[in-house]
Amino acid sequence: MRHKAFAPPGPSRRCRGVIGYPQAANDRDGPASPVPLGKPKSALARLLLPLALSLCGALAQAEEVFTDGSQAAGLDFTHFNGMSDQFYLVENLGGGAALFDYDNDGDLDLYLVQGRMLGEGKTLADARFPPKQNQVLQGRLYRNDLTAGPDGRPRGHLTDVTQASGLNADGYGMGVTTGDYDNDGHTDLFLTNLGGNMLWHNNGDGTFANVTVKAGVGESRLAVSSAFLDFDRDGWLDLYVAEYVDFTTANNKPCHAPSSARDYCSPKVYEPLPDRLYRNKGDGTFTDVSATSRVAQSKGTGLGVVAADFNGDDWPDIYVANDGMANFLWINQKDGTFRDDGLISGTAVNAAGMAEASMGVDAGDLDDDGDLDLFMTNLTGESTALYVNDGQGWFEDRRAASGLAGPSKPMTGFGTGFFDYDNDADLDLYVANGAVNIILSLVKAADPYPLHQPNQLFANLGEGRFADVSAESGAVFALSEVSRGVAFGDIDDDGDSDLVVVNNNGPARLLINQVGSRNPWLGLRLIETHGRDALGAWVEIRREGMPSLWRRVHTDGSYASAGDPRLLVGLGGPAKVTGILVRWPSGRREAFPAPDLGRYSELREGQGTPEAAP
Amino acid sequence: MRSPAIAWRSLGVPAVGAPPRPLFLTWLYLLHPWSRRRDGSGVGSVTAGAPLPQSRRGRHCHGHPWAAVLTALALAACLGGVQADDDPLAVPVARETPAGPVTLAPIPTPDLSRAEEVVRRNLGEARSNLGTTLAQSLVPPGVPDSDLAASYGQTGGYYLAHKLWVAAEACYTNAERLDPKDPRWPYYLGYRYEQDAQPELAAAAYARALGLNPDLAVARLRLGLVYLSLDRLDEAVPLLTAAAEDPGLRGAALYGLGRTAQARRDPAAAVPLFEKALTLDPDATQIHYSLAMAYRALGKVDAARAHLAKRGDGEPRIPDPLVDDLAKLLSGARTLYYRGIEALRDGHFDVAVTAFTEALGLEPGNVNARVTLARALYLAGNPSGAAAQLTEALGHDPNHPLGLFLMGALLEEHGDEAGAIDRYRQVLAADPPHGGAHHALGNAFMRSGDYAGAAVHYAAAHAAVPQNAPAAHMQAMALVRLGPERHAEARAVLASALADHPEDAALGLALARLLAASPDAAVRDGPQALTLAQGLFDRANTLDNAETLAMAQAEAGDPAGAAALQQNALMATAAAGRFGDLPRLQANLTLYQAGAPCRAPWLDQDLIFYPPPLPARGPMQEYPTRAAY
Repeated sequence: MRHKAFAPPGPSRRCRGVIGYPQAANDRDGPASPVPLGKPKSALARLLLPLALSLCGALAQAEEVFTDGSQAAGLDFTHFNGMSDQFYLVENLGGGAALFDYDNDGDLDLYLVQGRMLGEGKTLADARFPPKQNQVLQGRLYRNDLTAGPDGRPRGHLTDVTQASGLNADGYGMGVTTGDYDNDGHTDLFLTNLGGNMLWHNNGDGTFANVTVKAGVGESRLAVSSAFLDFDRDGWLDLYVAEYVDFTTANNKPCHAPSSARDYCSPKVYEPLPDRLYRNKGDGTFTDVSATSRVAQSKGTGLGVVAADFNGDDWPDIYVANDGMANFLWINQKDGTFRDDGLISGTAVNAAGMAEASMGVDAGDLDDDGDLDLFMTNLTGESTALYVNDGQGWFEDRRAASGLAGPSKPMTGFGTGFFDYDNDADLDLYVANGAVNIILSLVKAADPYPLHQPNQLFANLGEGRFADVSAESGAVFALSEVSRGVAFGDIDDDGDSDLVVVNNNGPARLLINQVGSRNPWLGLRLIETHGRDALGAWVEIRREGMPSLWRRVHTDGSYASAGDPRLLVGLGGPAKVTGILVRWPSGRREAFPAPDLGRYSELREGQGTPEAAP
Repeated sequence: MRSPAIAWRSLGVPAVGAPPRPLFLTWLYLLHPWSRRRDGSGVGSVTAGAPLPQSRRGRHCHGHPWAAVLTALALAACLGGVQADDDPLAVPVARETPAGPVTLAPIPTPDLSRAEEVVRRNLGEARSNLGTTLAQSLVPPGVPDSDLAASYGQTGGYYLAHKLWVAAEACYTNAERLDPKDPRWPYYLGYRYEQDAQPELAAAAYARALGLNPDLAVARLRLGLVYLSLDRLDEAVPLLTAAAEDPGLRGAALYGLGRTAQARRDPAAAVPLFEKALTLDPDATQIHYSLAMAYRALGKVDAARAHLAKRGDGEPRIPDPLVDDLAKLLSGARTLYYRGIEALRDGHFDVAVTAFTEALGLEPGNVNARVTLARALYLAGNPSGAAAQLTEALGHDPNHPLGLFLMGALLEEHGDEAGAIDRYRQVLAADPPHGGAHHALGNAFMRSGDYAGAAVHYAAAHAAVPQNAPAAHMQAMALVRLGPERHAEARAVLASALADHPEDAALGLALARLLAASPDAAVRDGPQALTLAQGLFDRANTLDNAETLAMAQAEAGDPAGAAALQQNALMATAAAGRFGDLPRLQANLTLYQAGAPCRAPWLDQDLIFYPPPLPARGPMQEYPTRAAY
C-alpha cells in the first residue's frame, strides 16, 4: 500500500476527536494510528461512546458535495516527481492543471503537467516511486466530450489526445497558464519548467506548436506560476512569470529537520530571483520589460500570481505570493512601470509583520463590497492568510476573525480558489493540502510518502466568516494526499464548479460538484474586441433589493494552474438579477441586460450600453 | 496482552547490558538442577513463587532436559539480551494514584536514525532513565507519583527541546496524570501545543496551569496571546492586562494588547500600546510593522512608512525560566544552530552567543557558524569578541567573503581605514558582485577624493542590491563631484532611483537641486525642480529642503520668492546657532536678491561628499541590510 489515498474513507475529521485520533494531521513523531486516550472512565461514557460513534458515522455519510469522477470520465493520470531520496527542492513543488477549451467546442478540456527523473545520471530505476510501466513522462492533453450520463445529467468524458496534438512537453514541468496571446480566438498554453519555460501556440486545428524561441519567453531558471494580463491595455495579452529560486540539481543542498533527520530545504537556502514581465508586441513575439517595468528591481521567491485591479483604478495590478519572503503587490503606474506597495498595503506579511510561506493565492470579493480581497495558503503552523480590501487597495489581515486560521494551521496549503461551490451567491474556498517537510509520525508508521494531508472546503457564512465544512462534504475529503495544483471549472457544464486536483507523485482527481446546480445560477463568457476571453474584466451582477455580486474574469490564481475563464455566478435564493455591468480590460464600461438563468451567455465588448465611470 | 518484554521484566530478566537482577538470579537458582530438594519438592514455575504443576511435583529436575533447556535459555537471555521490545515505555501502564486509577500512555520512540550521535545518546539516556524509573515503580517498594512524574517531565523536556512533539506530549500528559497539582506539566504541554500550532489545546493546557498557580504570570501572558491568535479577544484582554503588571512581561503584554485593539479595529487605542511596548523592548522590531498598520489606519501614512522602514523579525522578549530550562537540554550542533538562528532572528543576542558557542564546541571547524557567532557577539555588545571570532574564522577560510566583509566593517569602525580597504578588496576578489564591499569602498574612495572610482563602486553596490537607494544617491554625488559634464549622468541615476524609491527624500532632494541649479542647462528643469522641492518642503521644512526650494523657485523664474524663503532660512539658521552655514546662505540670498539663480547646487565642502565610516552594526545585524549602509 502506497499511502492512504487508496484506503477506504475513514471516519470524518470531526469524529476523530471522539475516538482519540491525534488532533493534528502533522504530528511529527508519534504513531499515525490512534493514540488510545484510555478506556472510558465511567459507565455513562461507555454507554455514550457507541452512540457518539454512530452519530459520527451518520455525519460521515452526510452529503457528497464532490465525488471523484476521475474513473468515470476516463482520467488516468499519475504525476511523477522523479524523487530518488536526494530531497531535491523541486520534487516537492509540482504540478499544475489547466481547464480550458482548446478546441472551441464549448466545453472545458484538461491539460496536466508532468515531471520526469531528476538528477545527473539518474534513471527510472533510481526512482523512489517508479512511474507506471509504459507511462510516457510528458504533460497530457485531454479532450473533453460531454455526454449524457445514466441519470440524464451531463458528464464529461476525457480522451488523451496528447500525441495527436503535438504537445510533447517533456521538460520537468511545474505549472501552466492559459491565454490567447495572439488574439486568434484559440487559447494557448504557457508552461513553466525547471530550466526553461515553453509557449505553445494553439493552431486551431487540434494541434499545438512550440513557439518559445520565436516568442522570446523561454528564459527561466525555476518558475512555477505565471499569468497572462494586458498590463498596458493595448489589447494584447502580456505575460508575468514568477521566478522562484536559483535552484538546480547540481547546487542541491543537504538540509535537516530539527530532529536532525534529512529533510527538504527551505527556499531560504537558495538565492531568490527577480520575476519577469514580457510585453506582447502583437506580432507573436514578446519583449522582456522586467527591468524597465521595475518588477525586476526586487528579488523574490514567487510561487503564486494573481493579476487583477486591486486599487479600483481600472488598471491591472499584480500580486505575487513569495515563499518565506514579503509578498509583492505591484501597482500599475499606468506608464509601463509598477510600484511595489506590498508592505504599505498590508499584504506583504502577516499581522505580526512576519513573512510567511505563501504558495497558492486567489483574489475575490468575499464580502460583496465591490473590491478584491486576497486569500493565500501557507505552511503548517502559519495558517492561511485572508487580506480584506478596504476598497482603496489597502488590506487588513482578518484570518483569525474569519475563522480560517484555526482549521488551516495544521495544514500546508497549495492550490486554492474562491468559488461558490453551492451557488448560494457567496464565495467559498477550497484548499489543496500536502506537506513539504516529512511528517515524522508517518515515517515511523513506515509510510513510504510521509507528506500527505487531507484537503479542505470552507463555506462562506457571510460577514467575513468561514467554516470548515470538509467533514460534512463527502468521502473525497477523507482522502489524504500530497496535493498541489487545483483548477476550477464547470467541466460538465451543469452549472456548478468542479475541481481538478493534482497530487504530487499521485493520481490527478476530477472532483465533480453534486450540489451547486440545485441553486439558481447564471453563466457568462466575456469576449473582448479581439474575440478572446476578456481576462481581467470586472463584472457587477446587479440584483433587485440586494447588494451586487462582483466577479472577475481570470484563469490565473490558485497554484501552478489555470481555470475556467467563464464566470459561474450562484444566485442563492430567488433574487432577481436586474443587469450586468462590465468593466472591460480596455477600460470601457458597458451595461448589459440580465441574462437567462441556468445557462451560459456570451457578452461581447462593444455590444453593451456604455456607462460612464462614477 | 502484555508484551513479552514486560513478561520478561516481571521475571527480573535484565535488559541488554544490564546487570542480572536479584529476582532473576533467584529464579535461575531455583530452576537449576542443584537447587532441587532431595524430596523433589521445590519451585520452578515461570512465575517465581508459584508452585509447579501438580504432576511435576516430586520430580527431580537434576539432569532433566527441560530444566537444562530453560536454564540455557535464561542464560542466553541474560547474556545475549532481550531485543528492542524490552521497553516498559512502549505499552500503557495502569497505576493507582490518590486521585484514582490512571493509565500512563506509551511513549513513542522517535526516529533518530539520522540524528547526530550526541543527540541519540542524550535522548537515549533520558529515555532509558525514565524506563528504569518506571520499571522500579512497578515493583515494591515502588516510586512515589511525584518522582515518577518528575521523571516523565525530565524526559519530556528533552523531547520538547528537540521539537519531538508527540513524544513530549505523551511524557507531559503522563506527568500531569501522576501529579495533577504540579503546574509545570500543563504549562509545558501548553508550550508544546503552542509551538506545534495547536492553539486550542495550548489554551486549555495553559488555563489548567494557571488554575493550579494563579501567580504564574508567564502562563497568563501566553494564554492571553493564544486567545489573541484564536480571536477570543474578550478573554485575551484581561489576561494580557494582568500580565502587563509584571515588569518583565510588560513589553510583550502591551504588544499583545495593541494587537487586540487592532483586531477590534481601534488603531487609536493600539498606537500608544505599541509605542510603549517598543520603548520597553526596542529590539522587538516586529512591533514596527504593527505600529505602521495602526498609523496607516489613522491616515498617518508618512508615520506608517517610517515604521515600515524599521520593521524587523525581532519578537517581544518573554522572560520564561521554564522555557529557558529546556534550552539547557539541547544537544547536538544542529539543534544548537537552530536555537541560535531563532535567537538571532528574535534579537536575543546573548542567547544566540551561548547557542553558537556551544555548537562550535562540537563543530569547531564550521566557519559559517563562527562568523555568525561573531555577529551575535557584536550585537550583544562585545566587538572585541567578534573580532576574535572573525580572526579565527578567517584562519580556517581566508577567502570567506562575509567574514572578510564584517572584519572590514569592524576595522573601519575602529579607524583602521587601510586595513578595512584591504579586506573589502579581498572580498571582491572572492565575490566580485558583493554589494556591501562595493558600497564601503565607494565611501572610502569618496573620502580620498577618487570620485570616479567611487562612482563605479556605488553603481556596483546598487546593482547588487537594488534596495540600496543610498548607493544610487552616492553614485550620483560622485558624478556631480566630477564636474558639470557628468551632471546629466547624475540626473539619470537619480531619476531612475527615485522611480524605484519614490519615498526616498535624499534622492528627491538631490534630484531637485540638480534640476534647479546645475551649471549644465541641458540638465536643468525648473518646473520639475519646483514640484519636487515643494513636495519635500511640505513634508519637512528642514534647512536643506528650504534651500533647495529657494533654488528651484529662482530657476523657475521667481527670484523674489526665492529671496524671501532664503531670508527666512538665514534667520532661522542664525537663531539656531549654525553659524557655519551662514556664508553659504548669504551668498545665495545675494544672488536671488539680484534676480539671479543659483548655479552651485552643492559646495565642494558639502558634507554629502564626505561620507563617514559606516557603523558596523548594520552589516552585523543583517547583511545585506534593509536600512541604509
